[in-house]
Amino acid sequence: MTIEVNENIGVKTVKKFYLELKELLKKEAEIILDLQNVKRLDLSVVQVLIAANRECMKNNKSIKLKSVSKDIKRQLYLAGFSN
Amino acid sequence: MEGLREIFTGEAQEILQNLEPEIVNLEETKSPDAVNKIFRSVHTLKGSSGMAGLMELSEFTHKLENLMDAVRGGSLQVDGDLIDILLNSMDWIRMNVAGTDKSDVTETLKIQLLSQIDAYMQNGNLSGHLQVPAYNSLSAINSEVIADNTSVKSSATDNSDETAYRFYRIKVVFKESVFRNGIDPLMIIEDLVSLGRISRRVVDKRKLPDFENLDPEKCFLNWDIIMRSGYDISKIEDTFIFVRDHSTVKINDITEAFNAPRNLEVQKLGEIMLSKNIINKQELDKVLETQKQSGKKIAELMIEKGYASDEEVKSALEEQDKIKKKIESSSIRVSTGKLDKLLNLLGEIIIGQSAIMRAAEGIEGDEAERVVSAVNGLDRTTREFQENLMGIRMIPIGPTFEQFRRFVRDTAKIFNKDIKLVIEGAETELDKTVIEKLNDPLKHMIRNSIDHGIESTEERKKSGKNLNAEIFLKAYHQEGSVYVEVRDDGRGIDKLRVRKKAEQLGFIKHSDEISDENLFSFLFMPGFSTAEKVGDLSGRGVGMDVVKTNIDELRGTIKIESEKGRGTVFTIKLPLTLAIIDGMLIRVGEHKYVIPLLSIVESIRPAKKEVKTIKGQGEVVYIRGQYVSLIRLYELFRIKSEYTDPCNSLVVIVEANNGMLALMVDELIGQQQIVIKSMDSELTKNRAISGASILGDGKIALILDIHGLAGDVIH
Amino acid sequence: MDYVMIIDDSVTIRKSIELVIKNLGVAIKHAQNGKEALNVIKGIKESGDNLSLCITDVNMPVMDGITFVKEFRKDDRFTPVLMLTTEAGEAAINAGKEAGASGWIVKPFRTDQLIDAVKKFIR
Repeated sequence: MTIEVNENIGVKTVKKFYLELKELLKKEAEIILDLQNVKRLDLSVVQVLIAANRECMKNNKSIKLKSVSKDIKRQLYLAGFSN
Repeated sequence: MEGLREIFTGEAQEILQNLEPEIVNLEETKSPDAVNKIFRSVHTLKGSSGMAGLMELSEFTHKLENLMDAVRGGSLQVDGDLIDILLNSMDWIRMNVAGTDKSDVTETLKIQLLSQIDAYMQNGNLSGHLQVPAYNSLSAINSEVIADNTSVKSSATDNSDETAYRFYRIKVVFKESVFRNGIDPLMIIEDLVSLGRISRRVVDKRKLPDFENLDPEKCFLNWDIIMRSGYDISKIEDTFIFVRDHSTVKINDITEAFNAPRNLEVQKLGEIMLSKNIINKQELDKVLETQKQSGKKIAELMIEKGYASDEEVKSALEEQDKIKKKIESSSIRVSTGKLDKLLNLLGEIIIGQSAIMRAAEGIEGDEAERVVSAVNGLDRTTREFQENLMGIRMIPIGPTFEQFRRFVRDTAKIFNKDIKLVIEGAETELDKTVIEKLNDPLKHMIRNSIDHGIESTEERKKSGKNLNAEIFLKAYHQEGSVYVEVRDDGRGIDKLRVRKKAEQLGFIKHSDEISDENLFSFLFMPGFSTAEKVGDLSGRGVGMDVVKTNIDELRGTIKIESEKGRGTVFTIKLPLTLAIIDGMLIRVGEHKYVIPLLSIVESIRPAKKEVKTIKGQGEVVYIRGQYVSLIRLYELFRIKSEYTDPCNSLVVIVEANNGMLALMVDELIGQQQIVIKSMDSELTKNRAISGASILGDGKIALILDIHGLAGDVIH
Repeated sequence: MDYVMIIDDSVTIRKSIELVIKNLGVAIKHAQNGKEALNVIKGIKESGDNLSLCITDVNMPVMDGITFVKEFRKDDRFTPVLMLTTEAGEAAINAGKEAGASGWIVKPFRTDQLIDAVKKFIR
């Protein structure tokens, strides 16, 4: 299923984001995160993405990112999301 | 396997040496011959590195071979970028072969080069090449991922002036709590990389917990980044200003290894033109300086500046070519290990020689004389042999000096000072090992001069000095020693401050009179620093004592002269050779010792009134208006001696770093060449002994460490 | 809405900061001291808006900057706070850091210094 990520995603809301994602991963096999409203991520969010991605790989599930802006791509690269 | 590697190392070094000028020539001539030759050399490197089991190197040279093959086949053109790739590849191969710093510099360069080679093979140029390594999209992300490097590329294409850039390695470990107070480490990393171009970034994710157990409000990622930047290190450091309490940041400038090798080759052309009187030294220096800043070729610059005509440059290049060919055909490679072995054998010969000399003493009459004169003849031959042997190990100090140009320029910039480095005596030859060990102390002294010695531009203006400060590096031979000077035209050392500090530390009393030389020698004491403020680079009170230790290890001496307002000179005096010294053999009781001849001033038998005891200084001998501390060697080594009264025995006056000493001995046996044998560490812990030598009769004589002795007595 | 809170007893300083940072595309709220600021911030949060950054002076009547940061941090751990200190403000910087400030600028500052500092926390 597709989730539209809130434009204000960041350390202040990361806990909520994390808990929601955790719930979803219990049910869904594939999650698509739509980042079209998001201008930038902070490290706390990227960490959640990295950890979630690892988790999915283990369980044969998948997390995909959609509408990733250039800035965010660069951020993901810098934060090691693509190793 | 190990043997194979050694052979390969030698071979590779030779190939590289010949290849580099070939590549430089290729740019001008674009000749198919040169292309072929480079191709063959790279091919050889590939083959032999594979044989030697160096797979990384083999793979790299394989890529390079493909590239050259394409050039040979005519599908790729020779242009500046290609030459850069080739030259940089030579640098990388050289570093890889030498095994220098595998983790940082070589890795950076390799990644860069491989991606450049790929781009070149694909496009025939670098236009489509992404300078930031593109990353692979993860299987889990299907969105296409391309590094956004539009902002970075503009700086990357402008790489004509490589020397303006530095490479930095930045390691950051953030505290888990760093998110608190609104700090986003990612924003800091973004700030950081906006200052340059990333060559490598490794994100350490090992501490990141499983998704299940993740506390999303804590930071678990750390970075290890290598980047190229045109900014000073301080600017890089500034990025982390607000997270100093929340992180451990290590920033190192790792540029140094990059630029040195290429200049050597270039300098040779200048030397040829110098020797042909086409240009003079000043012109050459100017060209070299500009070359360093502009990255242009030296031949080009000479014509540009009107120092030489096209033909002159061309003929010099041809000459250079000839020299190269000559070297190629008439030289062989010898490992330093073999030379060391020869030197050891020579040592044995010298010992044997003195054994014969000693045996001759037991013979009577004409025969003895014949033996003695024969041995003396042999002595001349072995000396000449030794000089030649040492000559093989000697290399000019020039390249070592040259590499400091860059250092001075960069460091001066940090301190906002205008400093020119002047080099004299670049052709002076020193033992290879000595040159290697000189590097650090020189660097430290130069740094010291830049930081403390040379005044700020305003201060120079005020005192009416030339605004361009100068640092001189000079080397010359004199009386069997090598001298290396580091001189600046700065403010000079503040004697009063040194004195005050020395008093504070209890080295001297307020009432003591002390010569400048002795006073300055305190600067070499551990922990001695008069710097009021801790500078970025030096002045932490460490360093000068390390300089001294390094020089001591080379059995050299160092002294400081300084004149207020005029500048400071550090003079390092080194023996020409390391393993064999001229020594004076002396006797105390039944024991023999060696005093290095270089230290001896004179030997005297003092009169009664010239020996006295002075409070605070102990026993002294009055020599030419000066009190010199007397050391009774038999007391020092707790042995029996013939004499206990210095007025009956002999006193040898020796000169050390920080003053003179009088050594009381029973007898001077004579002067001879002394072969220094390495000793186990127990013995050398004794500050009075620097080594041992085996004498003709098979007995061991200990070599006195004059500087160690002086250090013990004076402090 | 993303807000930046500027807290200073001098209206000149507040205005000059506003002029510089409003180009960054944020909305600005002013307060003359820490106490007033806490009230304004409460309002921002109650209306569901986001507070991106606080820029606060240290020496102010009623409630000074350090006390403000301490109070503010009681229920906001993540919003960055930038302090404006005077040249002799080493002690203030340390006290501020301890209270939970994120960064500081030394007065008087140049426009670009302010922008640089602000950009370390918001984009």
